[in-house]
Amino acid sequence: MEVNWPDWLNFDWLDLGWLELPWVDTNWFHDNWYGLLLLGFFWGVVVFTMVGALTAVYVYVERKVSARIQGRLGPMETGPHGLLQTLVDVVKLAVKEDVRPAAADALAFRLAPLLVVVPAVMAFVVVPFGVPMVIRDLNVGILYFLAVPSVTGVGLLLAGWASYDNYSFLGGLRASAQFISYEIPRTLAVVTVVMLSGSLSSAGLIGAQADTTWFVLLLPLSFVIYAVTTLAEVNRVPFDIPEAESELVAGFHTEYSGFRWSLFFLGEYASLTTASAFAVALFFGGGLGPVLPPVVWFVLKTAVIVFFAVVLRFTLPRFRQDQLMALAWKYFLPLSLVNLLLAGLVMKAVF
Amino acid sequence: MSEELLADVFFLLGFGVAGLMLPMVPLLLLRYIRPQHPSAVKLQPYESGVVQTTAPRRPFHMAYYNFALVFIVFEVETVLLFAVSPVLRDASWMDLLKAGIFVVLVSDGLFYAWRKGALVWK
Amino acid sequence: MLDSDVQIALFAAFGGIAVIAALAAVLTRYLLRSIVAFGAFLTAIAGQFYILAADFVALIQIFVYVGGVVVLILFALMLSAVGQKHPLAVSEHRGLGAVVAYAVGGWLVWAAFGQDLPKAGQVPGETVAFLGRAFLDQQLVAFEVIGIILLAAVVAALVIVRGERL
Repeated sequence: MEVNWPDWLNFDWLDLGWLELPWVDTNWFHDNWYGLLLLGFFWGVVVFTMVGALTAVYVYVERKVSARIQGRLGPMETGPHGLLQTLVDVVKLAVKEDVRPAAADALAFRLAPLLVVVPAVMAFVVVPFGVPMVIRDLNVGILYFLAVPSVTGVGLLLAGWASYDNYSFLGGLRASAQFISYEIPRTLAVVTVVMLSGSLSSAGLIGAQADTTWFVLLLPLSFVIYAVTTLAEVNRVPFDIPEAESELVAGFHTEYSGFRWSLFFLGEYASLTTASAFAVALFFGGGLGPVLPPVVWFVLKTAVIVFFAVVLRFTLPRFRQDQLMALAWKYFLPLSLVNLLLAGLVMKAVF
Repeated sequence: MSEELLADVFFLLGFGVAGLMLPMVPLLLLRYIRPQHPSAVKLQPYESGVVQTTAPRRPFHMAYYNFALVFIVFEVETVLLFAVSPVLRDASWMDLLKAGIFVVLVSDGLFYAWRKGALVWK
Repeated sequence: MLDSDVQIALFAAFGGIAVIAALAAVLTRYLLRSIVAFGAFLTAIAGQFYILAADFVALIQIFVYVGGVVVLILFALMLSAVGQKHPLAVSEHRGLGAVVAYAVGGWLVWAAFGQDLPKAGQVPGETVAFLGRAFLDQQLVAFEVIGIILLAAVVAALVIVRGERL
């Protein structure tokens, strides 16, 4: 995707240029299949490590924010202000016994957490961190971002079914029913953005916003639909009925423990991060912004959105299952169809 | 062009292998550290502290299947709109109308399902 | 180098995965494993599409089939009580099933090898834009007919599943 960037957006030093070390022939990575495999592997390791570290930060922030809202202190004992608490928790999870119910389906039980975490992490490939910087700018990047995480629905269903537990089974069914119901309005909201950007590549998306303005100003309704449906996709409150602690005992991952359980957790936070990052890319101009380098802008904007999702969790009560499905099919789906036609008019007015 | 796509596949394969290995390798290695003392009671499925009374894998609610069917139809619609949407920006009013007719056609299905009460969660 | 040899080799590798997954899907007697293997098969086919420069189709394959149809089949499995804990019993209609399967399989092989398939032309640079333009121009009728078919599909699904009358 060729994009004419305005001069003030060129921060070459933040691009992949740092890989061009004098003693490394970077062309080698792009000309050979084994070089490409290695490059992909390298980025996979980098992204996975980053997601792990981010999750640790989120857990701390979430506990502190919830404590603040509920008038508590939150973790205080381990390290100054409880900063080391998550680290200790990670060690605890790692050395905990891995219990699998005798009646569970061993293969599906092992496969399910992987089906949840791997697609969520793979979605990072197309996130436009900097203005020209995407880990790999696929031609169909935006579709990739929607298609690959959709595999998660299978993982949720498998996890619930494999556990041979009533709570898990119900949780898995609810989780994937909710997942597929909210996928359609969400995809239609993204379609309106594609109409305005004129390409499916994530770099082209930022380029189109550099030419016009943040798409949230042109398509406010699309943003509302995207934001609400995304909360439902990543099972966040107020849409966390599949894993409601008080009625389903954590739903599809009731029977999981230790490291395997933490994979579900990791997957959930990874998809929250990618979804928030893509909200920034789709509606808030990605890394576009004055003075500061694009990557900084991008991280700041994403942090604001994630923080908003965290605060919501402790502010709203959760929906009932029938309300949840009605909201998706009777409100958001018709709304997003109308929004498609509206977006057509906006597009004609702007271009 | 097609070479670039081939490069994408190798890159994604490498990425996917890393994504699979990073959860799996610790899981295998930690086997030597973590305790493993299974007992008959521990391996029972959880059911609020009592022995499981009903088997979970029994024929379940039809509503789920119902929604999944309608979902697939709309998913095919959104995918087709994805193909059309990038060219709409520089297209004429006529082209916009063609896409609009498609959207209205499929929306009819939604209204049919609505009127038949298929969107009610029972 | 990324030349056509590498392309063919990778295509063959995905083909091998697809064949193994397909065999697993057919041969296993646990319904759930069969569905998971079917998902793996679909993913391998998506890889082949991508190699053949049909990146859009490849991702649709994952979006609609792996993320949609596999979930639908899993729901269907959970609605029925069969094949859940214990392996499936061998059907008594085995012989007839084999005849039908071999006939369809033979017909497909004949269709694949016996025809004069057109050679692939130049791959368009922007595959999606090319496809979108085609939907609005040459393939317009097909595009709108798909809309009508989808409408019919919703109606049919409700008629069959809920026993509604039109």
